[in-house]
Amino acid sequence: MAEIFWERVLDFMLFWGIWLLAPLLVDISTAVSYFVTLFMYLRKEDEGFTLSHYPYVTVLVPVYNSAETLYKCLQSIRDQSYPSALIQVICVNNGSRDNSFEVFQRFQYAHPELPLMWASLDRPGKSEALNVGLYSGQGSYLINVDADTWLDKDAVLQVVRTFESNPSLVAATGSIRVDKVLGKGFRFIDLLNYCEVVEYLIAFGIGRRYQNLTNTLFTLSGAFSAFRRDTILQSFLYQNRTVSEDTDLTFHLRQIVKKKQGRIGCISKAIAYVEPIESLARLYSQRVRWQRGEIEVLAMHYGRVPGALKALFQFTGRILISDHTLAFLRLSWTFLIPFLYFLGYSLPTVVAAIFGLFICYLLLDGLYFLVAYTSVDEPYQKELQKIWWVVFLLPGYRFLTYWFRLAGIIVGMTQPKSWSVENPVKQLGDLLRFYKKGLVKGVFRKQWREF
Amino acid sequence: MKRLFRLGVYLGFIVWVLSWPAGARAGQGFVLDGAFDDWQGRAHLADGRGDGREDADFKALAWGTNENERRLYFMVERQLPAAAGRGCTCRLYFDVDCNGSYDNSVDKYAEVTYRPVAGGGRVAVELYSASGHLLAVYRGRWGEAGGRRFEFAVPMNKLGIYPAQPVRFYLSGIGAGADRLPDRGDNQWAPFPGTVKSKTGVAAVCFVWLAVAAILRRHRIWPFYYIWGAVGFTFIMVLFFQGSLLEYQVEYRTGMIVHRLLRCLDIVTYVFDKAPGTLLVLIKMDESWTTIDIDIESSGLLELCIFLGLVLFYPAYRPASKLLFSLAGVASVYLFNLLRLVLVVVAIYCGGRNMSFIAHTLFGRLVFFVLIVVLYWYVFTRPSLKKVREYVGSG
Repeated sequence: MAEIFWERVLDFMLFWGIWLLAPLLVDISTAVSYFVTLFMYLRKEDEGFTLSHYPYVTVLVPVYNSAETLYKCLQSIRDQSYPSALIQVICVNNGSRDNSFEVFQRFQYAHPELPLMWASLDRPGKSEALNVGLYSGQGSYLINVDADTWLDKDAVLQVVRTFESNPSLVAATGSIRVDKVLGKGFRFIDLLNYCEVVEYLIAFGIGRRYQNLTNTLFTLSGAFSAFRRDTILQSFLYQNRTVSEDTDLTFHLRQIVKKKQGRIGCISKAIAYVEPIESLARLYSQRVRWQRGEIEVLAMHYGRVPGALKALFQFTGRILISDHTLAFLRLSWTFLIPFLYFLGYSLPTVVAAIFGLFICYLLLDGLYFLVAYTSVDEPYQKELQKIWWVVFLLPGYRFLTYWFRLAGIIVGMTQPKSWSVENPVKQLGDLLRFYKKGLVKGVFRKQWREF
Repeated sequence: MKRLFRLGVYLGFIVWVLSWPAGARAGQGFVLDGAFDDWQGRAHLADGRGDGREDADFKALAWGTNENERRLYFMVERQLPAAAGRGCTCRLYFDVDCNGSYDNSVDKYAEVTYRPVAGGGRVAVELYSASGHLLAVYRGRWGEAGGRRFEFAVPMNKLGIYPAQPVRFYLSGIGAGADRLPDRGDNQWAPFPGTVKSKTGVAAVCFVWLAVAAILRRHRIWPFYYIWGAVGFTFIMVLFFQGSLLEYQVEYRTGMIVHRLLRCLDIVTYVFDKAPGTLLVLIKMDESWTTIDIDIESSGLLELCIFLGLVLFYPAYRPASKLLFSLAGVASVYLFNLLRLVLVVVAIYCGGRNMSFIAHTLFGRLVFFVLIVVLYWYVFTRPSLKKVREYVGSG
């Protein structure tokens, strides 16, 4: 009897769950290609390369109300294993209203040996700030680092080493990690941050490395990226037409260097740290912006949007099918699978099938975590061991971010050209308060009239 | 707001008409009462005269389910015996795990004893496990007084069958010279008694759903508006259409179209007047029968409701675009579904009934899935990209 039950559950999962399993199948096929190519890549990565000379590099730091984090960021640049005298640092202020400049002055006073510059724009705009920096930079390599990001001590050295050993590499993103003390807190926000840590670990430890090998990097991270000066100056630089200027530039650069067989990659050993997300609302806002940016950039870079079949053979098309087309199917089926109980399916079958789907996602996340874990250095592995159990939360976290990204698709179509993202939960709360207030007022009025 | 209200009224009226109960057209539910009008035009297998002992020479075996009830109903008709008053005992064997063997521990059989007496025939059903262990007994006046027909029902849980689980069965007399129906092989069937909710209750839910959707739209909380609108629309439409005239019509027409398409491929199927969407296929390879029930899912109605919900509430499109996409989408989904059904039957017909699972899940579902993804690409992704390109490009 139990055998028949599990057979039914499997049938149910494969038949009805295909709408939710299909995105998983896309993930699994991607994972398989990741693992195979990474296995090949690992041997290449180990090939040693020693720098014969140390070129001059420029680090650009766009500053916007960054007083709290700027000192730590600049300190991390000062602490680089790369010779300080060969690092030019340009901070470009774009309309800060806090005391960021005083922080800069304090740092400059403390470290006169570091070539530091401060440029100021009279308005906010990260793209403009970065462009000013890119034009002013004199280094052979231009590296941009967000003011709320800090570099690992070998980051610049790894960037230069990788560029020098790969003449075809024109631009690269560094590897981003979330700077969170692991395994200490267990509040909701801590768990959210742990998930974020693992998400970044997988994204940069597997995803970006795979994209690096196949020359299909989707985004040169705005937080930490590096460019060959001569190539970046041939481009349109950062544009603010979309909410994702870094992805826009990545696609533009790819077009420029396509004929020259240039590559855009990821330097896994060049590590930068970012602060963990502060709240669920911030995570929502971030993911909405990412999804929206992705759609905007792809829309702009498709001369003519291809048919479904052609899209399937392009990496951008596959991303769109996975992130946009399948998102619509998942939307309905996420609710419909439990709803099948009301259409006549037995409750144990439906519950067991949903549990089975969770297990499928859990296994995939577990595998990703394991592979990403093996790709990092030993001290970080020890840190990660403290939160190994977070793997069980990852399917839930991905489920959450799926809804945020779906909201990004909707918001992108309904609120054009806006960086600000309204939190729908807050909107809903405001709405309920509004109606409650209206209701209370109505009751008072009625009472007053009766009085 | 006024426009939305007007649209809601129009839509409501259309849905109200379409969700009208199928009533007598689809056939009444089965009632164990010894009257047999409810078995007219239902799915059945027929058998010739003279191939069995006189008292157990079967003419037909019919089967079906009732909505909201997890029981399998059967009706046995005998060739009228010379001594009409003589009773008979027969067995209905169930291959519960659908593996071709009737001797597994989960398999069962129902021994049915029929005694025609004045005022209605007495029927006793004893349900046994394959090893002969008595599981349950059911009795009633469920037969004709004349000795020709009798009906009975077996609960699905006693048989150990989950809804939509395929099961095989055949009818056999007892003793030497007893008849068998079908003469060779058996019939495979995946009974799925649907659940139909009260339309009044659904209408009340619909009212609340519309009101919330209107508020979310008015306050431009687009993510919640879309999720609430699209998912709610699908749920409500499905609940409205379950057991409705529209479901009956769609299933009936789909069954007829598939029946004709298969005839072009030289695959003979049987359809029944009062069993909309039921196709009986003779699989020559297995020398057995397979019952294919086209329900709210396999008729494509469920997918249509999902698609329409997603299109009608997508806030990026103008009403004209929504109408265009809806029409094109409905036609496409229906065609894709026809293709899927034909593929499933062809796969089972060519590969035998053991292919059922692969045919349904892999051929049918995957092909359908791929085609739906293609449709969604053209309805959602491509136009969305064009629209985004317009506003981003316009600066």
